Amino acid sequence: MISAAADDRSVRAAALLVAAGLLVELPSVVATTPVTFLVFVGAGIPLMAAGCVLFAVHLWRSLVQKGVL
Amino acid sequence: MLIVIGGALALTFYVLVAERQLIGQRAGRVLIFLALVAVPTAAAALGAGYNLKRSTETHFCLSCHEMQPYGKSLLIDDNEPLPAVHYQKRLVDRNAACYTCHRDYALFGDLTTKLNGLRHVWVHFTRGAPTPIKLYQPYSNANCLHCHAGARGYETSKHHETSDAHLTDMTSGKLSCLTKGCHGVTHSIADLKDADFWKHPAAVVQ
Repeated sequence: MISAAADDRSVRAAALLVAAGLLVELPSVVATTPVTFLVFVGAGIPLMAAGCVLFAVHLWRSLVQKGVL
Repeated sequence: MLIVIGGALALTFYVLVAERQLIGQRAGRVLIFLALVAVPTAAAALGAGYNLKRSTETHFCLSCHEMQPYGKSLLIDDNEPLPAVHYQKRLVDRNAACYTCHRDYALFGDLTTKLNGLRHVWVHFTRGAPTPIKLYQPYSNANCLHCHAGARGYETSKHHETSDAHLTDMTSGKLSCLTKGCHGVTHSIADLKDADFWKHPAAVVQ
């Protein structure tokens, strides 16, 4: 069974990754230069994707634990 | 676009702050899902589209100092250099002058062009741009023909059907449009010092 603390940690970690990704993406929409574009593609999107995947894995495990899946 | 990314960021921070209360309620869990998956995915997709669009603009290319002489060459006050003629006569969209002539028009060409652009940035930071800058591959006639093929001026020009030049050779790429004596004068970087420049307020590059 996934504990509440583990639940907390996973969601927090996912949120932090997504927030980091969005923060990194922010400068690229203020002033698009080759460097901000590279940062958007090379750091922003991977960080956000990692957050989404982490949350999706957490969600899937929770649903399996509850017998929904 | 700033509002979209900013809004997604605010929502994510809200989840970080109020996560304990949210996780205990059904609506809260839905909000967490929206904040951590749906909204960021949509924001990233919109942001990517926005960045891709902006990266086709002349300003974007000229924001690298290596490209500035090439931007300046668009304003040479002379009827011969091909990029200057295209830019000044508005044969290309001035806001996408570099991209229009240097993009790859093949299938997935946008992707190839962007990957090459990322390679430029990588080279800039790791080895420094070579001097002079060279194209990865010889300039393709396909880029010229993307606009000129089928055009009356191109097909009926007496210079395009002579004993040395045939339209079929140009179409197949056997004879480059940039051959010396044809349209061989391009950015003329070496001549910039002594060149006169067109001064026009509408010019993107100054």
